[in-house]
Amino acid sequence: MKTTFKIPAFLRLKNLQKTALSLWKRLSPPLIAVAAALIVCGVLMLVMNFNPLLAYQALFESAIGNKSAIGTTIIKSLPLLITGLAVTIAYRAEIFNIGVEGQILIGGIFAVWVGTKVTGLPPFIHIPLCMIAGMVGGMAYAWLPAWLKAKRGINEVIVTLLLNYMAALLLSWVVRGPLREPGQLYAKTAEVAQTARLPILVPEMRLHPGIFIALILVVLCYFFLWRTVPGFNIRFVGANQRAAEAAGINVPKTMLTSFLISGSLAGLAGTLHIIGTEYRMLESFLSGFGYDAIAAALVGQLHPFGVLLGGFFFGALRSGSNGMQISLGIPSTLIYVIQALIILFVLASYHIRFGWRWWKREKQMDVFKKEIQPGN
Amino acid sequence: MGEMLRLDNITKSFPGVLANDRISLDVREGEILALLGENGAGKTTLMNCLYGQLKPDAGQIYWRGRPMEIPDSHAAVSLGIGMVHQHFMLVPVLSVVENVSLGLASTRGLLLDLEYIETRLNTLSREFGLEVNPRAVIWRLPVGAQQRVEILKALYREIQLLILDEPTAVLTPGEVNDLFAVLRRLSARGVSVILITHKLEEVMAISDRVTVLRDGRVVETVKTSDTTPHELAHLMVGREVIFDVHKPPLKQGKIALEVQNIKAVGERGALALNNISFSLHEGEILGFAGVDGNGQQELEEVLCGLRRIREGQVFLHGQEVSHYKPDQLHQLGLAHIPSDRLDRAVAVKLTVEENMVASHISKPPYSRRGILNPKAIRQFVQHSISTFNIQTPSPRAAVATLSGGNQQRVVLASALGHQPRVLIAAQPTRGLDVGLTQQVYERLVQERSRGAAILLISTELQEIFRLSDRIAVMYRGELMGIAPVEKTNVNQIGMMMAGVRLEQQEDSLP
Repeated sequence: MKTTFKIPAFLRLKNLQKTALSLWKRLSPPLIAVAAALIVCGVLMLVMNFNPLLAYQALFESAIGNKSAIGTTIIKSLPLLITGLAVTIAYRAEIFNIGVEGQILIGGIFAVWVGTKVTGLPPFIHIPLCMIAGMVGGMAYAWLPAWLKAKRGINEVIVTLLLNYMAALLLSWVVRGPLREPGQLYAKTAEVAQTARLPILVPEMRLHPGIFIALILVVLCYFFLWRTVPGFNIRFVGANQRAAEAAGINVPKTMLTSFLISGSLAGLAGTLHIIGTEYRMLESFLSGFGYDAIAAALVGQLHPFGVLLGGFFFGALRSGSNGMQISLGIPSTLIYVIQALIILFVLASYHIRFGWRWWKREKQMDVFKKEIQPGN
Repeated sequence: MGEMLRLDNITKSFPGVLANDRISLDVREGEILALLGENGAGKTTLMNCLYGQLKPDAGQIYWRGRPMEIPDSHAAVSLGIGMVHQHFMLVPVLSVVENVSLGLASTRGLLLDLEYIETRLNTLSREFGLEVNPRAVIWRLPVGAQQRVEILKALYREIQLLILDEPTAVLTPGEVNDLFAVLRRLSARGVSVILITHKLEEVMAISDRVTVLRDGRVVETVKTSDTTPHELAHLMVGREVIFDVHKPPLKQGKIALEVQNIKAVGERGALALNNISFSLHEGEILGFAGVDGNGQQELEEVLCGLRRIREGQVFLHGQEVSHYKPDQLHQLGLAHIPSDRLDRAVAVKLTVEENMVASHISKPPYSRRGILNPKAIRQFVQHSISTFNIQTPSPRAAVATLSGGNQQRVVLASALGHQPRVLIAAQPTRGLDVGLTQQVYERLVQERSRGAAILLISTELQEIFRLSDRIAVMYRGELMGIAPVEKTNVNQIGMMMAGVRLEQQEDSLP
């Protein structure tokens, strides 16, 4: 019997080259940005009399050097990842939801409230109830800027930025007032009931099932954006709002949808961190994670799978920075410098070519000026 | 006549396109040279190279015999080259004098010198017949006057070569004649003119010589007096052009679209549509002529549910739809070819596939219960790509990577893909070459034969005359009249475009 062996289409050399090329095009800007940021920061460390190679080694080891380090990295990555998805879904409709920072907190407050005040439920009801409460909280807090943006065209950046401050103040009132754990010196909420807590899967890594939820959300987000009508509408509105309107897409409704989904995801991110890891809220709960998630989403090129990588990368930076501080005394705030540099370099990578052209034009202009001088 | 400008083997390529391929041409002193070619032939690219807005990959520009590098438009102007773009480069809220003064050094240091400029402007406008009030604010001026300001701006800078990019697209027939008179006066004073155009009649009417471009190459340069429109068309397209559309006799059906006394306001809050009434029948093409900006765009938007109606009613197949949303109108069989492709018709960042199905995406078979059906989408798109002969590397290519003509094919495929009963076609051939225009005409006539009711909005009079069964003209938001095509002529339509009502014209007839 003769069998013919046929190479599947995607494995043929030409297609492989194509795939590799497009993958490189996608991945190169963030990778180059990360490399550039690490180099610049290395120079900064040299100036501060630290050895950058040792520093990066410490960073690496305490981020993914052993099981518990990996666990910490994952736990810090999850809120970044889920919130990064929230940013992505809004951004695809050309909405810059900076408000994820506040939506995380409000979602968390709702979850703690349901987790502490509601008792006597079995876990398989209590846990989903907390998650729903968290999503509702995040969504509710996104509703005002969403409505203002969709119906009145008011800039979402300013509104959400201000709401973030309100959310932080609201949290500091909540941990001192209504949800404060009685008889405690420090302002913090009570722990959520045992029935509201996610089980720990791997004790030495403190790993909880939230990681599976996050991974499912990545796939769901991808499916939503590229395989459903609302997702299609979101991307079309984001690409050309006026063309979307002419095509019969309800632009305000689409904006509202994407903004509210974004808010509910941010709320869920806060919730999972509570019911999986911290069980309670302090005043400093996930402070700054919303902003970092925006960075993770941008580095991930606003694509769910990219955000997955971006989320874990920024989670690793966060958990590694502690190690760097403990073993070498390098201030962990330096990590913020690295993060900021990465964002700057990613944004710059879109403009570097433009700058190069401008520079060339200037040089031509000089030549021209010499040319038309009288007497030449 | 001495040689003023010579382009020698100018080559310019963009990723995937060779826009200019070793183009050589020359312009003599006081000459009007027409640069004729279809859209995409490379005319504008070439002129942008000359005006310093693009840098040619190879080739040399000679200005009065001396080799020159022109790095930007500032340099071009200081050599004596001026350009009037298709889209004017004026600041709408400033006056004519202020617009002219922009970028000029004042003789009074930091203080403005508007009186001096105004005096000189007045002299210039008298000299060249460019009538314009120097103190008028730009946005209040009609388009023809704005164009005169652009020309004055160039003349003020003492240019010796004036490039005009498709200057007649925005003008009424009368204004075109005025413009040509100005150009003749310029050439009499020794100013050379390069006129970019794809209209044969203009070339014949005004130019001394004509250089024909096709696919980025010079096909030929001829003296206008030695050629015929027929020969030029042949050179431009590279094959015989059939200018006539075979249109079967009118089979008028029921009323498809009826508009009664509608009023709507435009972007600036002023009344843009004032008491418009007409009806459109099945199997008929009703052409709306008129100079751009007389309410056509607002009419298009109102009929497609994109602009609110203040007063009046719209009926679609007898059903009142005055305040319906675009998707509701689509459901009732209305399709739309938007006038501005990049503004309303396509999202260039998304793929050909996505753009083509956007207005049908929420209905089966393209989606069921909110989940897309890639197979059905792919099938429709493959079919449309072959029907409309769309040149794209793949259905998944971003629309931005397509040429303008192919982008317009995507728009047509999307609008005509589901046998619309009423079609609002606004500037359906804007920016298309002769060959593609012909295809669009045939397609529209096919739709008409099928029984579709078509409302055609166009600034191209020839297009209106070739396709329409009846012609309507709008002027400052009012309907000047509707005339059956066989009972009217260009003069009558031209009068209406200038604001004379049809009934007034008939009154004045002896």
